[in-house]
Amino acid sequence: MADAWTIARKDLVLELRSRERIVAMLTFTVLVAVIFSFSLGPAVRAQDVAPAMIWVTIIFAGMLGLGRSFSLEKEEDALAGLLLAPVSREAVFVGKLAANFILLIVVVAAVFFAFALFFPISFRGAWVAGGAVVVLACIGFMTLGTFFSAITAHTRLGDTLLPVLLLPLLIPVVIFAAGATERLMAGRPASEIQGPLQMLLAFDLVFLFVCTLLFAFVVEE
Amino acid sequence: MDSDAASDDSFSDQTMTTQPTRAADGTDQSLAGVRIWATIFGVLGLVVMLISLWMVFFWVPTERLMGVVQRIFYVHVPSAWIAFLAFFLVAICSALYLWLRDDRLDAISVAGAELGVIFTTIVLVTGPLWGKIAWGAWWVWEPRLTLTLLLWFIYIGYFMLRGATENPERGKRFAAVLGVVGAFNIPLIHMSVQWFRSLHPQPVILRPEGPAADPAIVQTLLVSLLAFLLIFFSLLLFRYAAERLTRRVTALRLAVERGEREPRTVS
Repeated sequence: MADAWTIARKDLVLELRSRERIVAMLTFTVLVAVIFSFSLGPAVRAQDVAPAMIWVTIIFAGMLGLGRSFSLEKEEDALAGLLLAPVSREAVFVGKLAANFILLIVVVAAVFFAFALFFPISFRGAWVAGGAVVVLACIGFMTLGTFFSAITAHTRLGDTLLPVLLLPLLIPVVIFAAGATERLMAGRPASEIQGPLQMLLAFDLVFLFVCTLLFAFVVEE
Repeated sequence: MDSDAASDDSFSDQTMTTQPTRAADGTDQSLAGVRIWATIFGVLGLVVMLISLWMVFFWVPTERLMGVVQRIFYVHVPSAWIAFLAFFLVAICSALYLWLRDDRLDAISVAGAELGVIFTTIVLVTGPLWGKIAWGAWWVWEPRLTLTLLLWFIYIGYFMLRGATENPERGKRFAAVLGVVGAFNIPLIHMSVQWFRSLHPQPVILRPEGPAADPAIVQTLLVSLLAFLLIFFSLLLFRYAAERLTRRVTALRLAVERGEREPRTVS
């Protein structure tokens, strides 16, 4: 676990110094919110479509950052160095995942801020339930995302292939997260989203386990 | 075969004219056995398919509520089951490949995934044909339809991933990893789309209380399922043999090219 944190901190320090991913993701987020508000037209009630728009924005912004996560390690063959370091493959994966997750949470906060600024939406006091949805969905997203980012970094197509592989697998996250967000924003009681929360948790546990185990096969040589 | 022969011209003549079906270690190099079984399954499959077509069009009574359009059920349902069988096979062989690293397991995965894509395509074509009449729309976002579509996308990604990886060994590894992750994802996708909405007819055959449909319908379905199964295994074995032979030819070509290049660099 300590090893994983070391790797996560390395990625975060790198990001803090270069700020290349976070700036791109945040700009993208605000731009999407602006484009949505222009493309919707006056007849559409923003509250009805906002949860869907929020999750589409989060998924695309996350994808933007994920591409760099491992292609960054390809430069100067840094990945070989990382794998030669005396840490387990599992720790490398969990570390990378943690860094991507923290980065995404910052972006998600910006997404909600930007959308709340442009459209009349809020969680209506259900902050704990809303926070749980966001955290669980982002863990699931970044688990598969980090995993496939490691795979596509080694292919000829690179980042182009990432959404093709990742999006179909992320459907459960999108459905449960967007569904739960919509219910909360419509002012429904938090007990109604218990099912989606449990499913998101199950998704996270399954793929944290499967991807951590399989990661050694992805980076082996 | 000794490796020096690869640079020799007589070597390629020998492989063309004679039939080196047995290698030194006694394995069946031309996969004749596999191809014979593929042919047997294929012929049986065609016979049963003719019987099932006769049953579908002349023997089974027309379903009362849906009318004649219900007959597409005998193509749609077996294809869907076969598609899931194919992907189950891919998942198992992928997991075993990661463990054993046997090239044959990867060849089965390739064959299975290709057939899975084909049968999923059949499901996705016949489903809307039926849906247009029964539901009045070509496509609705219904759980099982959505699941099949996503399955199709996952395995399109499977082939894109293979194609985009330059190192073949790495491509096999990545594809196997995706096969395993995809298999874990499918139940979750199923549950999520189920939660999303449901409009598909409830299962009439596979349900805990036993089949609810007319016995004639069940019998016709079983015969056409058998036909599809036989054809599936026939195609699987043919494709498997073709894949193995392709890999052997590629390996031989590489060996010959390497043999040709060496004297040139000397001169």
